[in-house]
Amino acid sequence: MSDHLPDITRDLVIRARDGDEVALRVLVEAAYPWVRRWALVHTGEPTEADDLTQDVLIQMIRKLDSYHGDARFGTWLYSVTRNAATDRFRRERRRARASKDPRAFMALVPESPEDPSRSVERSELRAILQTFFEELPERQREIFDLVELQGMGANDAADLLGIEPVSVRANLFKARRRLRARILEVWPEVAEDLS
Amino acid sequence: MTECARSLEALLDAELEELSGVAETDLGVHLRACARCAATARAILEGNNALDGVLGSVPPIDARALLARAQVEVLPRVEKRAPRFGRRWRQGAALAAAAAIAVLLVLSERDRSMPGVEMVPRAEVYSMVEAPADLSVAVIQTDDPDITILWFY
Repeated sequence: MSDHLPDITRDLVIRARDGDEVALRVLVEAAYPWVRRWALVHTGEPTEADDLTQDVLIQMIRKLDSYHGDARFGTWLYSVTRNAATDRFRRERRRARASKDPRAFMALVPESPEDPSRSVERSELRAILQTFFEELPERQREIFDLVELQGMGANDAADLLGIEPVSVRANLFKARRRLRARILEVWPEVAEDLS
Repeated sequence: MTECARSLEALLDAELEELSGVAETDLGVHLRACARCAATARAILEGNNALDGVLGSVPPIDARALLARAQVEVLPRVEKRAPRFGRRWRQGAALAAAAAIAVLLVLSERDRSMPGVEMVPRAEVYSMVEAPADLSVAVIQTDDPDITILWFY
């Protein structure tokens, strides 16, 4: 079974662990986008995500000795990220975020993905969507990202998270429903039908 | 309940393929026939794409700088793998100090046996103590006959 992180082979990890400087740098560069995304899912804020990412990558380097190759590296790295995020939240309160007016959402939905004239509006759309996303519980956020957005199978996501596949599906169901309802409730035409 | 209302309810739980309107399900068929529900489905898909863009947007990283920062933290690990002269010197000094204390304690040994209490001779205490790998041990008898200090270093 392949690892969850296709760019990171077991051989690369072992060489980095055993002191190969080039392998270690390659490993850091390959792990970075994954860790950064997971960190953003957990923190919900880019600056915090950057800080957390740095912490996790340094922990990864420090803890390579404890990686024996018997578990998937992706699973191991995800658990490091998740634990670091949990520790961070214990130390710091989540900062209040600027509220964004969700009613603006409908106006920002592009007519077609290829429409370049609405790039600025699209960035606002992303900010609003991120707000909706952050309203989800942490577990739902991580599962929605892994399965719905990144296309990971429920079984692989369960393996990565160390939970049962049925739990992945249940959380995905809740996340989908909640996020989509949040989107649609700010869509005036649809809201009329809902009322 | 109208067909559009049923479709709207189904949109909340639908798989992504269904939202694109290509699936041969009731929802897929309806989306191909109803422009308004198709637009709703498109909004959800667009929302997913936008969110994916937000989460997948990764600023550049300076891996060398990160490794340099991590190097400070990694040093103890490297040092543990390959003991250097300074560490050996500190170990030797600690060993010498412990040995000196042990000698002094042995020379000042006196009988602290108590009536009715069977004391374990100090030599036997020494033989019972075994240091873990890479560590030395000093057995130090205190003035209190019930307290013996085992110093692993």
